[in-house]
Amino acid sequence: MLKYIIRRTLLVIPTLLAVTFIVYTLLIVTPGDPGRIILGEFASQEAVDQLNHELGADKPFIQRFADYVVGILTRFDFGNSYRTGNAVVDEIMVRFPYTLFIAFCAVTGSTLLGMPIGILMAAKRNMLVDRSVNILAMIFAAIPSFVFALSLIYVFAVQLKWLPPFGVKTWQSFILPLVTLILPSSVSRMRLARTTMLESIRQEYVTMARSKGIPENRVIFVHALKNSLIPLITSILNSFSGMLGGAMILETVFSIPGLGLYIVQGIKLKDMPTTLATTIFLAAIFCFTSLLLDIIYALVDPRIKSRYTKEAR
Amino acid sequence: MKRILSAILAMAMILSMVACGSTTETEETKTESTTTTETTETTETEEESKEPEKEVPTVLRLSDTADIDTLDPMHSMLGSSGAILSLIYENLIEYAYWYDANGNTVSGYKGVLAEDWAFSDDYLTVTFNLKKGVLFQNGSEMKASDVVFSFQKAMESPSKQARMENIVSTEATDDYTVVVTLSAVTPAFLDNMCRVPIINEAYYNEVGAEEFGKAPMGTGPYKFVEHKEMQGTTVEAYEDYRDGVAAIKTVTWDIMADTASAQMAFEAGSFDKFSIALENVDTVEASGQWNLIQTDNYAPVAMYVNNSHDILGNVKVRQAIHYALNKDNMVTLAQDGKGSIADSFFHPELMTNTTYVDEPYTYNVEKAKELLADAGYANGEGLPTLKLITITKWEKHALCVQQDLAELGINVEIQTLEASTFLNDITVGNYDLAVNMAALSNLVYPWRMLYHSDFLGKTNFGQVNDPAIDELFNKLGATMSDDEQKAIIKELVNYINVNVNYVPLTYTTSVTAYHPDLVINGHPRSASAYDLSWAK
Repeated sequence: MLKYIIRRTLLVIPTLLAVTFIVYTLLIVTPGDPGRIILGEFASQEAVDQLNHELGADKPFIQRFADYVVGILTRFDFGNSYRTGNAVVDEIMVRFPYTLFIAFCAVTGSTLLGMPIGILMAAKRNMLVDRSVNILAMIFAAIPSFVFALSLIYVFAVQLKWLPPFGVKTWQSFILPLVTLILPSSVSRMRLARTTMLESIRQEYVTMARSKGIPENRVIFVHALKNSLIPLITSILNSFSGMLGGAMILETVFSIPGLGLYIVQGIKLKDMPTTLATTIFLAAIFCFTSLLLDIIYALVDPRIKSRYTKEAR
Repeated sequence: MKRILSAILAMAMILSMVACGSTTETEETKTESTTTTETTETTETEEESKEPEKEVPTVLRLSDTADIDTLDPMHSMLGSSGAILSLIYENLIEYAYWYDANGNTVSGYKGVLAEDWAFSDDYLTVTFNLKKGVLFQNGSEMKASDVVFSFQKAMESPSKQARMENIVSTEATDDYTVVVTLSAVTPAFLDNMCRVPIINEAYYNEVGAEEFGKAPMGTGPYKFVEHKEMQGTTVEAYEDYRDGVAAIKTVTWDIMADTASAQMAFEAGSFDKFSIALENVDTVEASGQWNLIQTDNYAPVAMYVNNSHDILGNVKVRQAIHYALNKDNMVTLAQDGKGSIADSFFHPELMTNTTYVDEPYTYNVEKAKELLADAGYANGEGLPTLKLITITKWEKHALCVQQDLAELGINVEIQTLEASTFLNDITVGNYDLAVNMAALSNLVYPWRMLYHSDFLGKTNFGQVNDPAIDELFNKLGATMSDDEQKAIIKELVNYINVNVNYVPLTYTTSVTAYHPDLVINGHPRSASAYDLSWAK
């Protein structure tokens, strides 16, 4: 088992290296001179050349990439932002809590909302509740998140003036962004819960439980639900990285100072260290979430566990 | 099923009623979330307006689309930083607008930290007499040595060096007199002096360069309070400001990266002053809740032409293109009818010593076709597809150009680029045509950066290499006489009009919405937060 975990952990390293190489290459080949970006269009060419030399931007591509990777591995140095001159790592650490908070709340909220409704839909399949919720789910799934976000701002901030339209000054500021994330994502959680529950309900052991006269609630919540949890847990953990991405779009719309707004500003200003480090950071989160998921699988699923136990023997 | 449909329809009706209800109606139901919001509501119900006393706000809430880069005035380049720094720091002089006795707009240079200034007869020495008793926000008095120090820092700053053109020395002859020596006559000198902030030497040396960029301290009417990364900045009135403490005690900037949500936040009453996108002007005007002030921009939206291109290097092709452009249509379609067509690269009314062109290009497709045929490309035959680059802001103008040139048989492929990529491409000449706003100065001379061969590979984006233009700019740079400048500019304006090195398209207009209770004391074009107050 330990061997499996070590092997999976080691796989993260080439993945992150590949991501770094691809993003680094893309940013290098797109036009834009670092010295010119930092010093502005009216700076003298001599000053620009001098700064490019100091930044190492005049070195060959491979050497620059190698220097970058060595800097990360030896000093945890992802470079300094072209815009502010500050270490990118420090800036990411200031912003990440906002994105993490939003993603965490969104995953929790969508799970708490989507799962019970999905279970209810499965228990009441093809009845009025099931069909009505399905229609609403389709509507939420079809609306692009930024359109939904702007609609919410329009109704609740512009017209009703109940909630602030942007920012993080008060706790109310988080309501609209969270609703924007939670409602559409709870739809997928709801559908999955419904499908897996329906599969479980059709199993023979559920029929057996019913034939024994066990109350329906106990059949659903104890017998059927327990066996539907693995795909649901997978979906919840997987959605966490997805939520980080979703939060990034919403951060721009709602002006939340998280990683999303940070990377968008970085791209706009062609701030290469910012864009690169944020991408690597998000890729690392994605990798480690997948790793965690695999380890949980291995611990929970007896088939995986037995495979590695046999290999060890 | 009918019941479900009825329920959905009922929900839709409720939502639409909520969405379409007027602000006045919904006012009754709003919550009072923060003091700031409470004090700056945009509308009032009749009952509310009858209240005997209404608290006068003290805060001015503004927005910006980007965060700051640095608050070191010598190194900041972003407009977002500039807006904040302009309230904290001051220059020796400024180019200001005001109304004369008849209510007409007049403009000119005014002393800010300088009481007055004088050029020597040969225009190679400038003496600034500084105002006495000007205090920095830490209480120390501004002296001539601070000005000399500021000039040194500007010389060291790559982004300010261009503003220190031809300055060979700066000397403090006493505490209130600064003498600047120039290596050559410099017509842009005063314009440059409007962009060199005066910083406190002792404070800079005490806190060091890094801290100086985080905690700015100048002589301006507002002092820095705090900056929250990606959230915003706050400044507050400097109580010992020499011209009196500002009526507006606090100014805040919130960062709104997304323009659509910024507009929504503005409509929700989150900002007291807001720059409106032209397509939203009619809606905001119709709401009747804001005072809209329109100011014309001196800088034109222009089409850059790559003069080094095999085909576009031919003046007849460039002229044909100019004749083929329907600029009236462009104002209507790309600017929602706001602004005006641009005949000249140099605004004949808003720039100094400029003039109208003698023979402006009028929309004439037949003439354009004739010229194109003369150049050997009848009906566009033999012409490759031209690459037109632009940025999102000018995409509509680019589409108009594409449509107009299609009538000539010229195919144009539009590429909308990120600003930094766009800048890089126009700098190295990696384009055929480009649409952008050219904004440099309201003096003509600095515009040589776009025309003079000395700036090839730098800011001569049109890759113009014409000795006659170089010569005219050289002559302009060698005189300080208004009459001589006017004569040279007239010649220059008409020469470049014939040669179409760049194609002026339209002049845009900026529309700013002000809270109806905000009073502008002075000319809106020059008004800063210091010139605003809340009606009592």
